[in-house]
Amino acid sequence: MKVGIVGVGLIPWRVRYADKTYSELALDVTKAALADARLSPSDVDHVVWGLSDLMVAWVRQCCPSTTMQDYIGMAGKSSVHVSAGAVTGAMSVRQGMVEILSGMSDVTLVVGSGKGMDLWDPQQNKRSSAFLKAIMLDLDTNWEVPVEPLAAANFGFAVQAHIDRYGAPTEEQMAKVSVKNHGNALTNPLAQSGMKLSVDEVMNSRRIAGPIKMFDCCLYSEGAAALILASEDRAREICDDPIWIEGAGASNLRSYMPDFDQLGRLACQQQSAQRAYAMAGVTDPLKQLDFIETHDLLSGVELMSYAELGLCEPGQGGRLIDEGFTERSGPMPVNPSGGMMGCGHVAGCSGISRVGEIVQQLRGRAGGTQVPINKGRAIFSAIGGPGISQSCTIVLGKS
Amino acid sequence: MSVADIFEVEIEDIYRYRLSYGGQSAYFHGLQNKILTASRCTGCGFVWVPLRPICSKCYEPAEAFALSGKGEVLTSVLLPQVPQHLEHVGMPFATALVRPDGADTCIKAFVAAGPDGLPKGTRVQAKYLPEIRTIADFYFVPESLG
Repeated sequence: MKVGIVGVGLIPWRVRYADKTYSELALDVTKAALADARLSPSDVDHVVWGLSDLMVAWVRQCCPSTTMQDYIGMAGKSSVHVSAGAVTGAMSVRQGMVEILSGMSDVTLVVGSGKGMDLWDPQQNKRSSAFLKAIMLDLDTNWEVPVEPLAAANFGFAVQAHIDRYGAPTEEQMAKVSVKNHGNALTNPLAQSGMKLSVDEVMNSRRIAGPIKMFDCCLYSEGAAALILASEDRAREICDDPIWIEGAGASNLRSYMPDFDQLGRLACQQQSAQRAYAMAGVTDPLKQLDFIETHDLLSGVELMSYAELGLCEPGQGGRLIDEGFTERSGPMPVNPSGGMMGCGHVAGCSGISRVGEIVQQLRGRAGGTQVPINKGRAIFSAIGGPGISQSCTIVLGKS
Repeated sequence: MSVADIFEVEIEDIYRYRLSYGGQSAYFHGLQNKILTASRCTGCGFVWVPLRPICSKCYEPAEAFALSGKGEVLTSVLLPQVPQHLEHVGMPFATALVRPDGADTCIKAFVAAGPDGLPKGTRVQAKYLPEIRTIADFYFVPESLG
């Protein structure tokens, strides 16, 4: 049996939706996904909620899925809440797939929303500083947070360790990722931060920690996304062009004290990709994938991912960006949507959104971000959590 | 909806903790006594820092013992600002992964950086603040500057 995606509900990423609660955002994308699938709420058997555990700090709500279920018109149906830091969205899609493969449901709604900019810092008269403080709770509060003043430093460790081990990438190569992803976002109507940047502008942006500068970092956003998943038979009844989940793999490694041989690598991503590839029968991603969406938490992290996803040897990611290999017009576009740097990111729903963007690409409905679809297959690979220790990769295909 | 239509209020929630470090308390007692403490598994011999009373690899008990407090920087990220409570040291600081000598793990810690930054492989020595509350209350300095 296969699982198909038959409906997509996406809304634009914004710095803040002051006019919407997190429940309203979830309702908007649920309605959009159901409309896309030409289904009604009564057709849905089960709901998988992709909601970051940071909701406790963001909106003072510990069990948001139970309060939101009724608001989106799904009262009375079963539900489960998935929370896995920045990997939440991808893991929610995987959980939706598992729900259907188990035979428990025929049609599952995977939905998430994220809203962190209600936080307020009266000392600095800003929301962003309060938000950045709150997201530190995604790290280990005993063994990391006291010695990591910034979330970017947590991810910067991985990048610096990669540079220490392989002598690359350079800061200029990292800057090219930022230029690419912000540029890709210019033609994405859902994107929060499409910009035509130069390498110099990235290089001269404010230094955050170590080799990391402001434009090397992903955005923080508010948003929501929803997908309708269906069993193979039901998917074929619902639409003519379901996009199939061909593989899903996940891994969760040791976090704040990484194994020595994993320093400078994203070992969890390598494992999750290998598991997803094995399930999907992908043996040569360069020949079998049309494009990749991956978590560009930092520009350097995207370059590290190129190796973990099988595009090159470790340490060679910088060479690929130099060659234009991962540009939207290149042989293997990476983050044609604009990624988390140009499009938007909030732990929870951003992975659901990225999968939705891939579905639209494979359907040929991606508008200004459309890439050529020749092989009919693409992946989304998410990474995150303390020490970038958790990953989930989803393989999506047309046939 | 216009901005004027949005009903917005300021709410303050404050939580305070008397946080227990549980079975890992011995690590903090050690820091309070200016000792970096590890635990060695009685089954597989793996050395944990921070100490764990039960080995996470084989589930056998692990026995606490003192380390020298010396170690090696595995990687580091220089910080744009010195943490306020370490300003008295008078040096730039990085947050770093340090492998204490004798340990099979690494720890994250503040490390004072020298004039050349904090290259991988820099030998470092632990220093301790008078009051230990979190892992931020001890730090390393390069042996060459110590």
